[in-house]
This record gives sequence, C-alpha cells and structure tokens, in this order.
Amino acid sequence: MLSLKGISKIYEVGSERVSVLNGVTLDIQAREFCAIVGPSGSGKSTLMNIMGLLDRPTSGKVLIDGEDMGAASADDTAAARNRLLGFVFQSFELLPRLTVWENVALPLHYRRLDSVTRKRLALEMLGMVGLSDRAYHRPSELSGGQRQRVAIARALIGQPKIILADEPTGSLDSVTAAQIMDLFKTLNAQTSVTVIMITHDQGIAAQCRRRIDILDGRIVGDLTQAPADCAHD
Amino acid sequence: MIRGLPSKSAITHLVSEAVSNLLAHKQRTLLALLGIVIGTASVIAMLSIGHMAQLEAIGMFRAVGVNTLLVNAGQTQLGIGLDPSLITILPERVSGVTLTAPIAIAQAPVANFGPETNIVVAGLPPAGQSLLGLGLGEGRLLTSFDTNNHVAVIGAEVAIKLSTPGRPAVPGQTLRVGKYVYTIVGILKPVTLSFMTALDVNNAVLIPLSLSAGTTGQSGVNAAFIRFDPTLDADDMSRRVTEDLTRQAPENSINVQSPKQLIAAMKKQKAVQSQLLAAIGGISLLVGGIGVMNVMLMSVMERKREIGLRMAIGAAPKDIQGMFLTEAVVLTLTGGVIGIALGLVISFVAASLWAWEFSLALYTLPVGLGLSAFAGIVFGFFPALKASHLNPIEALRAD
Repeated sequence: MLSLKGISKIYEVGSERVSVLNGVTLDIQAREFCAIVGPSGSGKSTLMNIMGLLDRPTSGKVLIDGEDMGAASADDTAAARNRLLGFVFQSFELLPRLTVWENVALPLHYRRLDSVTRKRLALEMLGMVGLSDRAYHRPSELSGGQRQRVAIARALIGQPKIILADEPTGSLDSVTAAQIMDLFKTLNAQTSVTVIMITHDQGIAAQCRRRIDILDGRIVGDLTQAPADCAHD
Repeated sequence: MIRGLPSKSAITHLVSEAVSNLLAHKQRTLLALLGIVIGTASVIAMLSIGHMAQLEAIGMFRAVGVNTLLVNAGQTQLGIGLDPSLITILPERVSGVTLTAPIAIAQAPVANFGPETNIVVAGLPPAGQSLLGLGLGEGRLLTSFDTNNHVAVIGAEVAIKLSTPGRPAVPGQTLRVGKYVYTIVGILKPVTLSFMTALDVNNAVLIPLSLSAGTTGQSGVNAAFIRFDPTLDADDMSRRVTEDLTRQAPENSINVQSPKQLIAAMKKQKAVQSQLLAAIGGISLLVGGIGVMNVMLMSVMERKREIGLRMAIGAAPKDIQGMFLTEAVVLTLTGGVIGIALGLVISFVAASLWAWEFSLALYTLPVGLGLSAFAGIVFGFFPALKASHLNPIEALRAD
C-alpha cells in the first residue's frame, strides 16, 4: 500500500546541513493500523509529511498503491492526496466559517462533485462518526472530541486508501482520546482503510497492531503486537 | 453566510465562499471597496457626463441647423471689419444661400448704475438670433422694428452679473452700453454650448447691428451666419462662400466653418478630454486596486492554516489561486456595481445642475463592470499567486 525506499531528508539551515531522515525504508500493507512513535525531533513529523505527499524527500522513493510519487507535479500530488489520503491533525483544522457538513464535504469540492452529492455523502459520513445531529452547527459549537470526529469524517469522505493522523488525540482529554481511538479502530475494521498514526504517546502506540519506533531519523524498532485495549486512565 | 449551498456549480460555491470570507471582515472589506467605488464612480460619471455633453452639442447643432455656415472675418490692418453689405448680398452672388446675418462682435463697458464691466456686445440683425438658435427666457427678441432703437437682449449670465440689489437687470430696465443708454427687452435662455465659439451668448449683450459701430466704437462686421439650401453639400457651400468673400474683400482673412467641421473639431477635443478622464479614472482604480491587493495579502497571511489544510485535502495550486482571485474579483465587482450607481447619481445631479437632459449611456455599464473586474484580476493576481505558492507544511504550522 505504502512503500518508502531509502528516504532521506536533508534541510539546509544557512550553511549547515541538517539530516532529519536517514535512509528510511518502510512497507505498510493495506488495512494495517500502525503507530509511528518517537520523541519530538526524531523526524516522525517529516516522515509523515513525506508519506502525506506534503513534502518531498531529498532522496529515496515514495510509492503509494504502487504509484511512484517522485516525479509527480504539484497538481498530481494534490490530486493524489485528494484521492488516496486522508489527514487528521492534532488541532482538527476545521474551517470556522463553514458548517460541520461543509467542512466534511470540502475534499469532494476538489473532486469537482456537485453540491447535492457532496452534501449527501457528508451527511452519511457524519452518521458514521455519530454526529448526524450536528451537521448544521459551526465547529465552534462543538466539543474537542466532536471536532475531531468531524475531522475524521472529512478524512474519510473521499474513501482514501490511507489515513494519516498526526497526534490525533494530542488535544483531547483521556476519555475523549479513548473514544477517538475506538473510532479509528472501528473505521479500520469496517472500511479497510489503512491507518497510520504519528504519536509520542506510549498508551496510544500500545493500542496499535504495528508499532514503528523512530529515533534520530532512523527506524529503530518495528514490531507487530497484540493491541492493548483502550486504557481508560 | 453559506448555510446550504445555493447552487450546484463550482463557481457558485467559490463565489459564496468568497462572499462569506469577505463578510467575515466587514470593515476591512468596506475600506477596500471604497477605492474601487470612487474609481468606478469617477469613470462612470465622466463617461456619462461626456455622453450628455455630446448630446447637448448635437441638440444645439440641430437647433442651429446643419445647413448653416459660420464666417469668421479677421480684421484688416486698418482695423476695419467686413462690409456688412458683402454678407447681405451673398444670396444674390452665391447660389444656394438663403439667409445671412452679419455680426459685429466687440467689447464695451456696460453698467447698470453700478460699476462698469467690459462685456461682449454683439450687433446683429434680427435674423441672426434665429440663425444662432437662441431661446428666449424673458421678454422678447430683437425685431426689424428695432433697427434704430437702443434696445438690447442680454445673455443669461450677463443678466445675473449686471443685477444689483434693488435693480435687477430685467426687461424694461435700462443699461449703459458705451456712452448710450439701452433698454433691456429680453433675456436669453442659458446656452450650454455655442456653435459659434467666438461668441459666448450667455455673457453677451445683443443690440441691433445698425447701432453697434456707434455704440462700441469698433467698426465692422467680423462674423456672419449663412444659411443655405439643405439639399446642398456643406463643404461645397463653404468653399464657394469662401471664394466669393475672398474675392470681394481680399484684405480680410476669411475663414468659413461648417457644423460638420466643428463637430469634427469637437470630436478631436473630446478625444483628448476622454483620454484625460480615462487617466483620472485609471489612477483612482490603480489606488483602489492597490487597496484591494493589500486586503487580499492580509487575507492570505491570516488564512495560511486554511490554505495549508485545503492543500492537504487535495486543493491544487490553481484551486487556491482561483479561490483568492474569485474573492478579489467579487470584492472589486461589488465596488464596481456600487461605483456605477454612484457615478450615475453624480451624472444625474450634474445634469440637473446644468439643465441638461439626463441620458444614460448604456455602454458605461459594461465598461464599469469590466474595469472593476479587471482591477480585481490584476490586483488579486499577486496575492492569489502568493497563496498558491505557500508550502503546505509551513502554512499548516502558521498561527
């Protein structure tokens, strides 16, 4: 599903060259539920940006669903993000002026779908995350957990192959965080979407079937585990 | 605000998003609009005032008649003008000439018991008044019975200028013109544009031609109106009249103009004016456009996270560019619509102020809309480009 082959990323800060990723090679299969774990500065966010086609590696190859994304233009990567990927962020990133359903439907706008279809699919997705009754509210009228559900619905509406979640529970209290994790697990099971979660939270990482540890730009651990149950504190 | 998108099309979606974004910053939007409103309004006002001025001019020529020639006769070295009889016998000498009116234009001190002012005094036969297309405001015009009467018809502005408290310049009152006392018999309607540029009738006192030399102390006729058979060609008539007068009075420099020539000259002048007005409107739109660019740049800066998010979920650079460009065009088009309305109000007020007939030049509407949309595209382009070139990772990290 997602293949990284010898990914390196070097930033030039002034005359200094800072190596953030050093030859990361990684294969993630369809339907996997994995966590990429590392302390801040380990390179996990850069890795996520490269997997999410938001950044390009200095060297190495990114293949999504067999497609090499190395030579893709900005328009092509935008289309690939829209078609293949769904993003969930720590701070939700909902647009405050749009209603909940309009936020959910936004990816479909860039797929040039008409507004009737967009709305129908958005309401369906909201049903799936349990927020049908909030469709016409603004994000500011929702709780943090509800907002993240909206964001998840937005990530899923385009029926992507992979969901990339960057610290999705980082802004939530532990009870809500557990509910969000449950939602991810359910969706992973029901829709067969691949979930890749970036986290530094060991509790979250323990709930994922596969755990990839990253330190100083290298993969230092990759193990498949029996996922722990949600730790409600 | 967009609750439930009103239309299926992507354009409607873009426009309604643009509107809601603009409405989210009402004060800033209004300030940015102001420049475009003023720019468009000035262009529209100028265009429609120009249009009405042209209509007035055409109307004036219609009153005078296109089968009229204007003769300007320069004075000789001796200071003697044209012999009026040369003009009066023209119908006999040049076939096709039906009516003539020699005019003697001079300056003379005029007073209405108050201080003297130098005013243009034009001596003309009664026929000259109709050939000039003059309209009467009050009293009566000069008649053939006035040949030896010291009576005057005065222009609308002269009437105001000469009126003193307790002694308005009205028919029945007397005026001193040179050394003579004249009785005002009529006041003319204001004339907006004169066919005869040498004589501004609003600021003139008209007296019988026979008395003019004695009154002003300046001899001779220096202009004339000639009416000819309307079936004849104006240029041909102009040439024949010039030939005849040049032969009869070689010492005078004769210059004959037809309305056709004057219209052509006026069009030329109009073109220069239009260029000037276009420059003023252009500068206003430039200033307004820079305001729009400023607002759009601010908007891009503030909405970096939104831009980053949209890019992450699949917006291509051209989508982001289109979004901000739409917003800029919606902004300037709104300004354009308000500007057109304001410009029409201004030209309506100007028309009623100058006693013109208000007339809407329909072509100004698309011009105004086109200009404001163009300003939006031009000045929205750079902010939109800047937005589309943002790095999505940095944009998402912005606060």
